[in-house]
Amino acid sequence: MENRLFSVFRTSGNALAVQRRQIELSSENIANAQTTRIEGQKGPYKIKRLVQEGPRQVESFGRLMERNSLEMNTTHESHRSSNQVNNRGESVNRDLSPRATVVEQEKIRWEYDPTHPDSNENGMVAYPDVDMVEEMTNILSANRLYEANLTVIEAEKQNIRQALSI
Amino acid sequence: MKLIDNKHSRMLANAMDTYSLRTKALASNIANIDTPGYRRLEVSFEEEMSRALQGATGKNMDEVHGKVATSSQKKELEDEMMELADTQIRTQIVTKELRHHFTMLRSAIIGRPQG
Repeated sequence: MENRLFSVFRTSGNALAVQRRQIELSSENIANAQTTRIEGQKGPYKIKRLVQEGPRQVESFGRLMERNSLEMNTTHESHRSSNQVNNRGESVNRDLSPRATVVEQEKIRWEYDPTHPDSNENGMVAYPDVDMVEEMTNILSANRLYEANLTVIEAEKQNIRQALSI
Repeated sequence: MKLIDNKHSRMLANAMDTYSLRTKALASNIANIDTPGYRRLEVSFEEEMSRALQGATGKNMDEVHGKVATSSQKKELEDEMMELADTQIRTQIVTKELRHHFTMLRSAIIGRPQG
């Protein structure tokens, strides 16, 4: 969606996806807290963490945004806002949304259980060290941020509706 | 005298541009609220407008535009949401005013108030 009218929707929409991914990963971690083996992989289940990255070209992006915020291809000179410094059709990244990548963490919690089929020679079993409190708070905060982004989308929708009624 | 594209409507249009820009900046700030290293975007407009109103800048009020800047200041999610609500109300005021402007023009053309 390159249209400037919908760029708020894109930013907030991608942020919604990131928060949903966070909830997915936390629930996956909790569900696999007792997983001691995974087919085709050594060791127990690896804890998955979401790492968020800011929009690209952070340095100059205030300016980029200013430059591109009100881009029109052909218009009367006086209809242009001075926000738009030039109009050379430069291809720039206008995406302001965060991006997230999944990182696997190998944190192991040892438990003594010699009868367990996955125990080692010392009778210790390796479990993933899932911090339940951390995962639950991650879910809660992701949930709230999801709501915040929904509010932004709702606000923008109302703004557009208002503008259409002039 | 310009009737449709006059100073008044141009000023309101600038304000609308500014508020839509600010909504965009706020959307980005809220979407990136827990992104490490993100610098929030701010749109300034009101201060310059009030200085133009006092005649301190030598600019007319319809020549004031919103400006984007990055800020290293950290703000809470609540602050951003408050600003979003504020921006929304401002947008509504400006669109209503613009609508009023055109309604007045229309009634001047027709010669009787619109029902």
